Amino acid sequence: MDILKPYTADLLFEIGVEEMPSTPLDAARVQLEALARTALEQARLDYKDLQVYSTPRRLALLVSGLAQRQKDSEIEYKGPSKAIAYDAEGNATKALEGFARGKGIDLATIELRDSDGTEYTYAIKQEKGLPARDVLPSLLQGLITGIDWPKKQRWGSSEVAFIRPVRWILAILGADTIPLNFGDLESSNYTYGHRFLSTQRIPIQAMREYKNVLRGNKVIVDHNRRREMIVEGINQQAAPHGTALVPEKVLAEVVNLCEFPNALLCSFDPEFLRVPREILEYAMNAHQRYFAIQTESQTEDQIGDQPKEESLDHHFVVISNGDPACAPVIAAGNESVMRARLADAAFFYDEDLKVGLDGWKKRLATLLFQQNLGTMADKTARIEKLVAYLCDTLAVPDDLARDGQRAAQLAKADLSSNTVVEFTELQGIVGSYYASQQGENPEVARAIAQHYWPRYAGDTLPESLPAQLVALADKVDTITGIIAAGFAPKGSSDPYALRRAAIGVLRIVMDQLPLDIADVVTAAAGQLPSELQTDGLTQQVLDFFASRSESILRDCGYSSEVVAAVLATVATRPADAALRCAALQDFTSSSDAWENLSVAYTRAKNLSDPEVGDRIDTDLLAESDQNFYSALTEAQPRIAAYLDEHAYADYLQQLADLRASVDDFFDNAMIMTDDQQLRRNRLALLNLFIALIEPFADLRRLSK
Amino acid sequence: MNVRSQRDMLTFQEGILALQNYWANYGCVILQPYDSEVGAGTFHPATVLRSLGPDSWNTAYVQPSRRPTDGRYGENPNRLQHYYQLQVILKPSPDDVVDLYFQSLKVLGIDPAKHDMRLVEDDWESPTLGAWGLGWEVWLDGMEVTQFTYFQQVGGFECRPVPAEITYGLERLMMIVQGVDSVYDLVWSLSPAGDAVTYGDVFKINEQQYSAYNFETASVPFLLDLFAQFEAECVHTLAAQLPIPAYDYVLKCSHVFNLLDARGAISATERQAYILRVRDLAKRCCAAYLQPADASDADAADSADGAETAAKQGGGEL
Repeated sequence: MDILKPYTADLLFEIGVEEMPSTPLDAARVQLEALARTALEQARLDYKDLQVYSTPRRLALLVSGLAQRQKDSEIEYKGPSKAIAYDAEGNATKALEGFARGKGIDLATIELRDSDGTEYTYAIKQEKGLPARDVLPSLLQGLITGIDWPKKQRWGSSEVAFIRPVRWILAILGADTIPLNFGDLESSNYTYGHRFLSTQRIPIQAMREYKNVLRGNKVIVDHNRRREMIVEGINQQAAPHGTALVPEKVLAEVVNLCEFPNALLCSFDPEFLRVPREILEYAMNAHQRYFAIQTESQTEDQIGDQPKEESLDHHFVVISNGDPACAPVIAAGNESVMRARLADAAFFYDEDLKVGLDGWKKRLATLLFQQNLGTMADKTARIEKLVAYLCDTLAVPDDLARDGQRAAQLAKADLSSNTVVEFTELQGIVGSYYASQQGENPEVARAIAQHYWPRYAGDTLPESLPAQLVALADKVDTITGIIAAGFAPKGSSDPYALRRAAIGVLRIVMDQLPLDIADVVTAAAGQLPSELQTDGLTQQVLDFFASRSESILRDCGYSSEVVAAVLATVATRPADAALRCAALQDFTSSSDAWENLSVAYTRAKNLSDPEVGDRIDTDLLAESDQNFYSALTEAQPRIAAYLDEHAYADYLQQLADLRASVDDFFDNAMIMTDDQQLRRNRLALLNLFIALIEPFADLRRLSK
Repeated sequence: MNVRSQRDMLTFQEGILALQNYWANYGCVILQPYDSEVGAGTFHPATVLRSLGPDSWNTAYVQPSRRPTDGRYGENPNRLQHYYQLQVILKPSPDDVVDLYFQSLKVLGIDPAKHDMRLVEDDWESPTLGAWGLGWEVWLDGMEVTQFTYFQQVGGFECRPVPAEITYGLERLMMIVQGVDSVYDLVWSLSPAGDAVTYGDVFKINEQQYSAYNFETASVPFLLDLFAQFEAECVHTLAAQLPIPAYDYVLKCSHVFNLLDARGAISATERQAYILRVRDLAKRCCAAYLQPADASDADAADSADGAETAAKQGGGEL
């Protein structure tokens, strides 16, 4: 009897897959949860709690307290209006009959309801909730097909597709299997444990035992728990030797590469520690997903420029998915892989040092930068010239200018070295080691490494002036050149990552080098191959920068109106723009004088006639004119001085102090009077007023 | 070299025989290597052409593979311009294909339960064959030893049913089995008296000579001429409705391209054009193999994914 059944039961649904790739797995898990919540809600099935877990071999949905039956529902369908539904005698028309038939409703149950003042017919359909077990098969099937994978595949003779072949489906409500199909596969109440450490299929009687049963079969299904175990394991193994370095990206991947993690301590020949640590770390992280260990170092034998307090230890941690009892064999295998990798890296490094950075620089002539823009040697020449220009413009002291020049010459040299060809991500870092090795001054070595900074959103800016100069020159050359070559970013396509480069330039200019971007871009454009130097190029590049400035300033929290007002006057001087935005936003939000003033400015600007000029005939000034004129002429020198000194808060306060005079003038003076002489004089007064504000920002953008 | 004490360890040739036996027992047709230079076992017509069409097909074979740019003059213990793959094709892919693979390692003396075996994402794509599939690299204690791929398209045609391709890197696997750090130290064979012949004895001088040939000596004008001639012969043979012999010339073109590449004779811009020329030939061979009636499918499939794949094909071996 239905009535004796509990109202709720637990649902367990597991999609068993051969082995899912790590990268899309996290997103799939999030999707599965959202899909499940939406589907259950749409199916009117209440539940108490819902969890989604993943391992490389399974996506699991656990729903506790799921209603055994859908809630009943009442669906109303709006039909024709009363006038159309019934004839004069009150009999149903063909229209109404058709509507009722279409909805499968008896004519007698049609109701009339008011809708916006007109009576309409309504068909009300009562839908009795179905048992959950009748609804779940198609609902769960929809979850399998609903996950949006970046790439799917077919397998065997089946036509269904998934990220990798689905090999089992477990679906139970309470203790009962929910029958469903995916391709040729039928659901059951069986799951599987670890691929090698548990070989039998395992029946699951209830959702609540699932995690424990799997744990007994060497599977930690909760990805969060696996992450904790991995982090604990790494730290524990690393502790006797130092501190483990755990990049989030590698950790996230490793969590999705195992079902039963255990951390193994491995080591390599300390002889390899003579290779720059970045190279060793890269070989461990990117290629093998190993975790390096950092230790307090007593020695000062670093090849790099600055002595580091910490150095790499020759131990590393491997997360194994194998039997902990076999740890020695597994560790030995991984050590031999690491040995081969490090031997390769050390070989490249030693060969590179024989050639030397100057030697690699010579080979840039055979390395293409971009078809229209020539080789890396050509690019280097342009960077050098641009750095020279920047040194001039910024009056950089001679010694720093020399370092900047030298760094510019060598910045790209490592791109042709064996090590950077093999480990592209280490560009710059490798070059700085080679620079130190051939006796370049530490400032030069550092600038070579840092000229790629900032490499991503939120990355550190280059620290030294020479590094800033080269970073700026390199990026502006790339942006200007690539846009000239016809590859300006469009939509999601930005093959040369120009947006990121532009943000780098703007951040450097805002925080470090007070330059007008227009001047730098003009200089950069002027040294491109002549066929690329078209008329509109500089403006096109500046517009590109302006759009990036806007997004940076918006990200700083300035309103779109404030940003637009400021960029209208100082689009190419982002440091100044940032100061103005800060002052303007602060002032507009704290001073009520401000709103009137911007309204007055807008009015003045709309009436103004630049042809009139700002010559005032003092004989013609009426009283209200005279007051306004006095206020303007009195304030003018101070306002100009504040603007000049970038003392924008004071500047804005001065303007705000004019508010009463402005209001008074607008209230009492008839500007567009028929008296032509008076009108000219008043328009000239407006021009005086406008001239105080115009160099700062276009305030019309503020008053909407 | 006398290594009596290693008598219980599989030699290189015994490893190959053991895997061949395993797959023979499973029901595979054991083929011999294709008698033409190829960059990988995948290029064997028993894989490329037999992956197409509805028929079942299970085969295993060793394929010597040539990658001219990977030559290191015999000095790198892990890199060779000529090496061996053991290639298995199971079509349609059986449900237990992954287990079948792991079982096969046991005949080499590798018990997967005693190691850390991983399946690490590896999406495969062959620009010249107009082919792609999804699968994994198989890692054994951190070492990539096998590639595993479910073919989705070959020659621009959907694979129905889907074949599973298992490509064993024989040298790497046997280095683990024998516990050696250099490929040249692999024991290839062991006489009853205990005299060993190593991989180095068999191939070291070849690696030295071929590296010198591939990088320094191969005649560029000759190869450029050969490429054009092989291409023309392929077209000519296709016109006679003989796709299988025509496909031989796809392989010839591909190998000549790889040699030209090793000689540094192909610029970045020309590279893509050469790849597209070989790809075009490969697709036409596949289309002809599938019967002329099916040829229109290839264009449709091609236009659907062609643009996307072409964009990613900058690098890559033919």
